[in-house]
Amino acid sequence: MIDWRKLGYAVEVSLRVTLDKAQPRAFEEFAQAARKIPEVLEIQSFLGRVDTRLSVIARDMAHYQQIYRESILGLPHIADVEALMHVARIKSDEALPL
Amino acid sequence: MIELDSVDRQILRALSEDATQSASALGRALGLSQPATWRRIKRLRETGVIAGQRLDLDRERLGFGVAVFLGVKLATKGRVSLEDFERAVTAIPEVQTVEHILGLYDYRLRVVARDISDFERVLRRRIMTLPGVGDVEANVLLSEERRPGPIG
Repeated sequence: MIDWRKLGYAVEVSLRVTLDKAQPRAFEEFAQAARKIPEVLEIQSFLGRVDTRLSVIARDMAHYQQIYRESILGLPHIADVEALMHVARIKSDEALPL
Repeated sequence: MIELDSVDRQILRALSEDATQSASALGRALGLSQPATWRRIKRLRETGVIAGQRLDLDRERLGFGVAVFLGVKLATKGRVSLEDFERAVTAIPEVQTVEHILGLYDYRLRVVARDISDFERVLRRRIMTLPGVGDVEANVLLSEERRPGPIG
């Protein structure tokens, strides 16, 4: 586990992406392109109101804006993007209730 | 902020793939001596860049077939209610992560359950009874992938 804040990445954003469902391979092509963006830490897909979620880190808001404009908006099959900014991690052990 | 050189980055990249590698094996792979590799790993740990190691359990094999992300909005706000909510939500064993966020929701929770009916039990008995809980949105996780990140 790397503490990205210690390496100067102060901003963490959750991007909830709605994909263009008319495209049968939308998620595969979207995920393939997202893997090429180094600042993307997680790629998830869902059943529900949200299609996919990317976890993105950036050094500061200016850097985030640059990643968003130059890399994220260039990803294929995006119909809508919604950003949630992380304030704090309250619990993160990811333990299973065994 | 901690500055890394290219060798530190190589060590981090190798350890993110396999954290159980010894300093001597890692050193051999990177052309460094065991003590030099060990010193670098020690610095990465002491400065907190390496925050820890995690055992990657296969939740499906352990019988937890469902993972759901919940977006939770609080109905009542104020310092006290945030603390009450956070204390109660972190105590739920099925809740794996709790993140305080800005935007559509106040908190994002990762919840695991054995199946959908088990999830319903957790949702009804534990989540909907949390102090101050308002709107809840659920998205069932279909796939997830962790990336190494911008190590360089």
